[in-house]
Amino acid sequence: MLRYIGWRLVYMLFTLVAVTMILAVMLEFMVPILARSELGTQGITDYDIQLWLEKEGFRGEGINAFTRFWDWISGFAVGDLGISYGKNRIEISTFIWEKLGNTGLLMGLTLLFMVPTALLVGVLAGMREGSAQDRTLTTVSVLSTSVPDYVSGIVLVIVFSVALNLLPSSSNVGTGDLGFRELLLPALSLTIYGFGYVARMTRASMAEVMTSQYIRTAVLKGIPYRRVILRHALRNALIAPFTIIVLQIPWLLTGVVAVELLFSFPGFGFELLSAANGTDVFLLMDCAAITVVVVVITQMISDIGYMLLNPRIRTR
Amino acid sequence: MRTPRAPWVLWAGAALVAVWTVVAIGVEHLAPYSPNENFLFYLDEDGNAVSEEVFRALLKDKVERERQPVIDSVLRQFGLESVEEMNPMQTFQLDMQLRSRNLTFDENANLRDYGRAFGRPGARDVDGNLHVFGTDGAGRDVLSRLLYASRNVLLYASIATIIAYVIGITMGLCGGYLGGRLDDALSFLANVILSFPVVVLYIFIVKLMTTGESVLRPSALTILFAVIVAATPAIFRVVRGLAMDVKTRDYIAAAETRGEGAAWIMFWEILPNVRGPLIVDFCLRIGYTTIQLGFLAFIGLGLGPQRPDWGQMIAHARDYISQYPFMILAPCLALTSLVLGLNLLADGLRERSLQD
Repeated sequence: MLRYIGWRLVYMLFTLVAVTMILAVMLEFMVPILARSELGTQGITDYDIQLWLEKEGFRGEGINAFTRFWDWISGFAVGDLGISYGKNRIEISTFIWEKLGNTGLLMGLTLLFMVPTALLVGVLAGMREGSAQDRTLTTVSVLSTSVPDYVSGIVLVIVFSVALNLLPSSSNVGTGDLGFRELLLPALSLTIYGFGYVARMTRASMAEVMTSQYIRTAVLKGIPYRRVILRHALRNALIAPFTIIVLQIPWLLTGVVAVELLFSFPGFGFELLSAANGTDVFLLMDCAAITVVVVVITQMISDIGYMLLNPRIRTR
Repeated sequence: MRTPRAPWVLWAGAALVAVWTVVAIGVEHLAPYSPNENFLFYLDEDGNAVSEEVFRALLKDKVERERQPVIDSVLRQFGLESVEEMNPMQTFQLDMQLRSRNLTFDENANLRDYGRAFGRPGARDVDGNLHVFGTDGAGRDVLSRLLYASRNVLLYASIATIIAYVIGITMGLCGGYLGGRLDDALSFLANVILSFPVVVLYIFIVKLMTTGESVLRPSALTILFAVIVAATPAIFRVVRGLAMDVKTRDYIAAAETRGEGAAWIMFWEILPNVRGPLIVDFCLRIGYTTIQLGFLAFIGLGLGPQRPDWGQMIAHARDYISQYPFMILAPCLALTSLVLGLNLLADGLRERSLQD
């Protein structure tokens, strides 16, 4: 088992090395563009750009692509994220953690809505595969995966903000005031889009468990159906959805982009988008690196967690 | 316990997809107007379209009510008694004041200069054309744009998915059947790409291909490329898994014994035998690509204003969401109905394949 975890770690490191190479290429590509946009277009010569790059420490004696990248990535590793050129050169670390926290709140609330609903729907559907109950719930799940978050968000805004005037349609980036009322609509729209997928995975897992020998044995022994489901089936059926739910976390971290844009939500996705629209090199690099770290770590957790939960793999 | 399956899911999905396909192919005959034509309306104070006579009367009434006070205030400003005493400079200033308040209308004025874009659903424009779904902020017919958008969305989503599939199938069959170092390399590549969330991947690719100046106006080809790169690794994984499963069957061993080449076995023995799950996955993935294209257009990376797509329409109509909710609901419904059709179709096909 430890050997398996060790191999996963080595593989993760290799992946991270390859990913950082891509990030290095991106940094090299973006720096000259940053110089041009910072200096403007009027009467700027290559010499001016050269001077600016030297002044900012991007060019000069002993500075090459490797050192440039090392400066950034070593800073990133210890939490020194560099400065934001798009925001008057303030330190990125002064605001990005707060935005990540806001997005974390949104993700937390979404998972709180999504996970119980999806598991319940999935278990109820997979319990009797092929029944009318299964068909109805499966169709509901299909409907859920067909309504993208930006569409359900718009419908929710029209219903709850425009027509009923119950909930705010935007979170007012400026005030930074973020309560449950501001979080509710974005979290609901993400839940609507996301829950169908988890529900279908749970259903498939539950349906598979229900066809297994030990469930048949339990039923034939005369154990009440309720008890068979709760004691025998559920535990095994929830192993696969666990990995799916863990893998929803990176999806949520960037899947929030459209929703954050729609609701003007002061979160991580909004920053990522604003960095992408401008030439805010370090902000874009930091955001990308943060997402990659989250993806790789959650993949690991889901792999190792699956192994720990599933006794058939564990004993191997 | 298993009830006979209800085929309505399959047929409902197929019907929705068929309707949109027919619309996309025959859009020239179905759309009432060109998607990029700008229409004008005679609008009253509340934004309702009115006839030429009513509008003329309204303008006249407004001019009569509001013109004199403006003239008086300008005269007072210059200390003059009547308009005749004004010098050319002062006349010009008065004209500017009236123009800014829309009060220059008289018998000789062209009524159309006072028309405005933005008809409500069911409004008639200055030429009496009916706009069932109304027009958008630039006076373009919403229904026509909606229908023309279906062609772009279906075309681009299918092209992107097909290209991603051709690459993904080739890579997946090679990885799954040949195995070894090649499989390790391909899997690693797929893993690295999948380590980037799709949004970051889109942004990086668009930045690199538009030489990074700004991601605001990429070409449709750039968007297509980004979507393909993001979709291929997932398809690779699906095909690889299927190929590894089928590889152990007896008929593959038989083909190998007969001395068939690796390429022949991959594309002629394995591929036809995994077509069932692949067709299901293909339907799901076109739907997903449609959502992704809509998402990209929503954050400003659309196919371009001359090439309407639903995501762009949603992004444009977002500014008018409180006054004209229908303008944004129409493309939302269109997008959702197409994706729903594809997903139901995939679900129906999957159930049918399980039944056989």
